[in-house]
Amino acid sequence: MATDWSDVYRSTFPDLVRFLHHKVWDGERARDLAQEAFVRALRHQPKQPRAWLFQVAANLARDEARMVLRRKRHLTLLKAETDAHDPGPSDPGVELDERARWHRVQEALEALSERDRDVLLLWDAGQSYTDIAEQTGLAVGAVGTTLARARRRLADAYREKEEADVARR
Amino acid sequence: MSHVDEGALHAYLDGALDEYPVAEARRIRAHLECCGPCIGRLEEERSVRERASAVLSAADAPVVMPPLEELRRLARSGDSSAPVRARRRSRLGWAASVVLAVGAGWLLRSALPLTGGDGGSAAGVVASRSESSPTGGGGSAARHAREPVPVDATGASSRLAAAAVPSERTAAPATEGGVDEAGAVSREASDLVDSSGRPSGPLPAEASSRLARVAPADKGDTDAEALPPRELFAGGAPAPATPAPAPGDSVILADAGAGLPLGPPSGLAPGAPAGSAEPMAAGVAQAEASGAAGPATGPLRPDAGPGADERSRQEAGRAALELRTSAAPPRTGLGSVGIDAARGSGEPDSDRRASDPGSLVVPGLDVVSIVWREEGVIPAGVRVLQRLDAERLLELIHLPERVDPASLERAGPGVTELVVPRENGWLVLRAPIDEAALADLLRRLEAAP
Repeated sequence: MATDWSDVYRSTFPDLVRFLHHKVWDGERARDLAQEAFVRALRHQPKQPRAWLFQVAANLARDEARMVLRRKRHLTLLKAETDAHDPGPSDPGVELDERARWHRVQEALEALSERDRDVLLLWDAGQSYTDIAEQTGLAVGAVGTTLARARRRLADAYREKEEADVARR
Repeated sequence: MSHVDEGALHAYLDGALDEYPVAEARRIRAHLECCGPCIGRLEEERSVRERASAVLSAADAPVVMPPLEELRRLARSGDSSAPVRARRRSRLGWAASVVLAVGAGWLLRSALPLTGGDGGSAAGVVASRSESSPTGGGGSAARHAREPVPVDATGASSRLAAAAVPSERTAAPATEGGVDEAGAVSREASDLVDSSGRPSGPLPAEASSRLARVAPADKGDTDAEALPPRELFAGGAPAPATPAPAPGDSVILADAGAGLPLGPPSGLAPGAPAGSAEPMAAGVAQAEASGAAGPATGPLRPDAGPGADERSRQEAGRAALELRTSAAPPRTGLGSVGIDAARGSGEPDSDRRASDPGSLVVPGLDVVSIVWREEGVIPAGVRVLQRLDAERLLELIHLPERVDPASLERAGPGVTELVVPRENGWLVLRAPIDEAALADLLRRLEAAP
């Protein structure tokens, strides 16, 4: 049966951007990479487009992350993204808070192992346990365990960063 | 009755128990209806789950969806990069995988028992030229590696030796037309030394000293010659110097003609004379080039005995990998690619395929050739030919992420093709067999240790 790409696009693109954004921390780049993944999918016509798209997106994000890491552009990206996120006039205090929150989320995610982070972000982007298992090589039963660990670590790491920020003020 | 583990609790909360085996899902649900402690834990995990979701939602990006038709147009035009304002993706992760995988593959070979070579695989290491691709938008079609050009054993060894010295900056001219010497290994070395054979750029002392041991330090600035292979590897008589490699070359790491079984490999037979060191692994050559395995009197002396031979080759291979991961990034070239990626990611398992030599070939099939594809100094893939039977070949094309498989030449009539996304790029399998058989080969490759 032919793939209904309009449907796939509507249902997957936002999830893909969300997934990519939590990996590359640059909204613009996340959208670009999602587009690139879709263009490739349209060209290759994979039988399981959603899983395929996330696999390609993960590859793209991994490369992107390495590049970003190498150039040590974290803070620059964060600033650019925050600016892009809310281009209109805003309360500087609110903007500052938001920027700090994004930074905390990023750092909290970085506290996870790569596999835990991948599984968590795939779930967060709407992938099923079965899809996640196929993509990561885990057993379906292990996805829940991985998610449990990842969620707990993320929540704990975020809380620690939040407390540290409060103590610093 | 055993309690429910936290993974199952999260599966329950995520509504994913339907993806569990039916009996297991039924047991978990039944248990959660009657077990007080597990119900308590369930609430605790529910709180964790909600906190984590809130954290992730705190950093969402606004989504603007371009028209699908625009993406379709780009897909038809073959330019996936157009909507991406800058292709800043690293090419390095994939390159590190190939570099390390090939090196590890040779390590694996070295670890296996050696068989009598007797010239049977005379073209053990062969250099060939990849034609420089035409520039312009259609350049991707020219990324294919060119057909290997077998050369004699001495030539092959010489070419490996040439890899140990500066290439583009030496006075040795590149050959015109025919075979010239190459490629990845030589450029790596050339990137680490300047025209006088001294290390260039910010090299750590360790890497510098290694290179210095093979660089022609006593030569003039423009007269750097290759250390001949016999001197380099076995302390024997020097062989003629060979011309410097040119950009765009490939290195073939297997017997181009006879079909080289992966294991046990043909190779330097124990006690064989130095001149029969044809199937020298690139990794070994690189290690020798780096000097890490010892000077001219070093590890591959034929009179050192078979055990020493094997050990030396393994040490040399390890040293090759070590150099690639310990040296500071030079300016350009494969050296920088491999080193940078290997060190730069900082992700513990991001390059796990890199140490997985099995992922390059299908176990159990004879390897006809392994060609390092390049575009200039940038690695563009590895093309492996393996023999299915007397008449049919399997083609495996490992591509980095940046190279679109659609840019490859189309498979010929009657040839089935599978394109598989992999962790650091793509794998294209082609063979004149049906899809199921090809998929089976893919499974064998994926299952390789």
